[in-house]
Amino acid sequence: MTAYIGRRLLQMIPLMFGISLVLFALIQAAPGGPEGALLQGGRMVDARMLDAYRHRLGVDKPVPEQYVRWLGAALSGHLGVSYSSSQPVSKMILERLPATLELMGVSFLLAALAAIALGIFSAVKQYSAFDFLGTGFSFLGIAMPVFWFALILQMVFGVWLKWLPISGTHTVGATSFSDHMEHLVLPAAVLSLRYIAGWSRYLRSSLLGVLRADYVRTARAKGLPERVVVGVHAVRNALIPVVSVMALNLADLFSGAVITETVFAWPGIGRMFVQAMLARDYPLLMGILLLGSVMVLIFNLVADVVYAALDPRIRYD
Amino acid sequence: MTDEPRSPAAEIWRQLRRHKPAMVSLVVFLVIAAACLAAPVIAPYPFDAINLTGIRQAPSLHHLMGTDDLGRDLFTRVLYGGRISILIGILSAVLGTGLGTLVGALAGYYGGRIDSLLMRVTDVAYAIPALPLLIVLASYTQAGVGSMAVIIGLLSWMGTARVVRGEVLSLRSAVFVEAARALGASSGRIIGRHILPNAVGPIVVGATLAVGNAIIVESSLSFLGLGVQPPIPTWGNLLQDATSTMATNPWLTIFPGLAILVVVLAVNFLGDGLQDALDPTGRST
Amino acid sequence: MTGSRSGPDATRGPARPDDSPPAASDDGRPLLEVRDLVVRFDSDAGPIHAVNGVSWSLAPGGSMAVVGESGSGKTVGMLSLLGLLPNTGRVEGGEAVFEGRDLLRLSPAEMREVRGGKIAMVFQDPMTSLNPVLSVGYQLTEGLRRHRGLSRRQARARAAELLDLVGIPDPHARLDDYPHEMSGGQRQRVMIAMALSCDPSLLVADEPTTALDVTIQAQIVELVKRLRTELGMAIVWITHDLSVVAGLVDRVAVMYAGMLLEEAPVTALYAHPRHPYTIGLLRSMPTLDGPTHTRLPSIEGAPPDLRTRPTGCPFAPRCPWVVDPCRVERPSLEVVSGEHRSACRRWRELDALEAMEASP
Repeated sequence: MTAYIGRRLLQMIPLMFGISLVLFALIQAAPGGPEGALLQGGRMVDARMLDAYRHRLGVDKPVPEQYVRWLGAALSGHLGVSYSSSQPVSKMILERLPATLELMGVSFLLAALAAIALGIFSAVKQYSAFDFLGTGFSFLGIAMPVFWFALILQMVFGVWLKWLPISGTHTVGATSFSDHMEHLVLPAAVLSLRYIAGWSRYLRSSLLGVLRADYVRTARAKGLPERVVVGVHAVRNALIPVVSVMALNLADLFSGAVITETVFAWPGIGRMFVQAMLARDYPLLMGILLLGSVMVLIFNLVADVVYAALDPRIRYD
Repeated sequence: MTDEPRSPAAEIWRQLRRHKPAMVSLVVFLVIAAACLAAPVIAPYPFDAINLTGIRQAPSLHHLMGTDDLGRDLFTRVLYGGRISILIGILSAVLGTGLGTLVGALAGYYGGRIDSLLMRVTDVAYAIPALPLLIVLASYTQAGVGSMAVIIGLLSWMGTARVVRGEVLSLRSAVFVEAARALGASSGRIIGRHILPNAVGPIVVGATLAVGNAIIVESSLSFLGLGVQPPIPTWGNLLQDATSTMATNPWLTIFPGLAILVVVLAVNFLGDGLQDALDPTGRST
Repeated sequence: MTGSRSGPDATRGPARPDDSPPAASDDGRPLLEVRDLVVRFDSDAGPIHAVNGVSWSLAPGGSMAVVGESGSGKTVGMLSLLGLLPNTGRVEGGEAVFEGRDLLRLSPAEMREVRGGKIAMVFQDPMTSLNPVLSVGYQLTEGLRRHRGLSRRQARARAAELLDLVGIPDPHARLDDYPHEMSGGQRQRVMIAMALSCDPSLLVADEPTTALDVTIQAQIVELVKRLRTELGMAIVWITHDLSVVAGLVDRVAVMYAGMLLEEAPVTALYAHPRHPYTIGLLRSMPTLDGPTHTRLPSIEGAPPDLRTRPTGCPFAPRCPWVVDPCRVERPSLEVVSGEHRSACRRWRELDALEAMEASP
């Protein structure tokens, strides 16, 4: 297993290199170039100051040299200095990262558990009322824009029913855990909805296929109760293809977090990303984008490992 | 009529007609698209007609979806918004599918280094979170219908590329392709005339689903203030306008969102139906 | 957790549960008696008549082969007895009395006690019949723990014995293997071990050698023969291949279009087949002493369309000696002699008809 993970890690290096090229190109392509923020900030600068600034940023060097310098800095954790706050980008990201990881983690767990339960029941009770409802719900969940669902939930649970808070991580002055949890409910529901919908549908069809497999008939022929036939023999096989989809979607989860955090004023890196965009704070944007890409690669690795753990046939090839 | 050989398109249509949700969805989509297209004719008001004496009116017979905080008729604006949203959806789906088909066909047909290079590029494009990247690109450009469609299209080709590559790989050594090659057909002709028509199923399904996805992405970007700018209405910027008055004028939030939901739902059902219609294993004789 | 304090040694060998010792059969009652079994499948094109009124019985410790081509209803009939039909299939009529109870009317819980516990099944394709993500040991011990209430350790010890019994070397180590680490023949041995784990009184083998290489086929047949003499359970061997059943079973039932066409002791069937279909099957079989380099004759015509129930004899459209009444009236099983029954109205004339055909 260790060798397997090592091999996967090695395979990530060229991918990481490609990503770095894209991100560097994005920085170069920024309107007004990397130094453009000074001008866009509305500050008056004369030519001498601009030259000095360009020199300090290193953008007066040839492009390949700039790339090498940038890559070297990025590898050692130096993602540059934010235009808007003059703080190191890495420090800003690290401050906001826990909130995002919390939201993503809770949403992922919620989505996985709900989708697995929903998918299993829909498949076992195929064509039942529950199955039809589940399928309808899935189609809705996939077709609904995340931010609109967020707005509707805010309207219903926050404004009309006044059951739940609609922004932030806690009420001003409050520090209790339950208060924090209440703030988490709506964002997590919004972020997980789409994945509950997608994964449950996928698991349903995967499980329907597996339930027709010969080895499921073998399990039944042994006299095992249906609960064991489905739970032990079928679900594990059906989950194998679903896991890779889950990992691919974890990347989207980060995209979803950008919108969800913005709507619910959740102080994570997603919201910071939108703020950085509005402020044309390119170093911060690139830092977050880089982090997002690294997260995607890590999620893919985790998926591979889980995949290997679920399917004994993977381990030895 | 019964046993005559049919063109693939006719056969797909025959299969699709039996898929009720897909047919209903097709009708719904066409009706909405036609209504939006005909907005200048059928809309009850000009889309930018401000009426300060009738602001924030709840839905009524005069204003089916109410009015916004400048007294503009929401129904009119939803119709006009649909023109932009659906147009961007279709344009970017066509662009993304075309690009994906090209990349996939080249990778699958030529194989070797070209294949591994293109597939690594695809991997990289997959690994960068899509929406944040879109946000950055959108913030670089002057937001218009064309640039929106191009940006969204440029970032939604990877799935198609992988699917088409797989299809082309499996068809590359098929007998009829070998025959065409033996007859001296050019590579371009072999790909265009012999291979891609056989891969049309997954391409069409992918393109259909891409329309729905692009509409959602466009609305998300507009919602973040990065889409097509007011006063030209899109479903996304109508929703953005509505956020500030969500508590008092919920209809401003509900109707544009419903429009997105219904159209995307219809497109997805249609894609589902197409998938069933194109799946040879599910076909009954 | 064990129901009856049975140590590992108490579980070995053909020890049977108290309620169904083979001695209970001395009253001459059959172990399993199937009467007028009817099974249908739903399809878009209407019902598929898979099994159309089949009756047979099997004595305790007896052995029978059910022979027929695919679609003859041989497998479906057995699956229906154990409630293992796919969703679209259902039993429309008949009964199947096993140890005094009708299998077709058992509650789900009662049926689970029978499955694996008293009637065990080995399936056709060992490559797909074992669960790829569970270890062989786990799959072997599942039944033991459920039906026999063994502890994990007891079940594991018994599972190793079973692997040894079916001829898998180094059984203790192989318990931790996954199916993909075994060959097709070994997997089928595991399937057989699994079926035998709870000492069933009936083993149903559904074409267990079809998916295997010829040499492995012979090994599996030998294995089942040996196990049958050692353990004394009854066997139903489903196959499309008449050549494997000689020496393996006592009786043969020939099925076609969901009906039983002929049933006979295996020697009588080979020597004096009393149904044109059986004659065709035997002719299409390669023999060691027959002429080489000649084409084996095959039965003319296509297998029946099960969407319509045949009014007359189902084999009539393909029968070389068909006469008009065959097409109109469904023939019943007539006793040829003793245990030999045939559903051909011309069974008495077959010798003459064959002789005529041989000398034109």
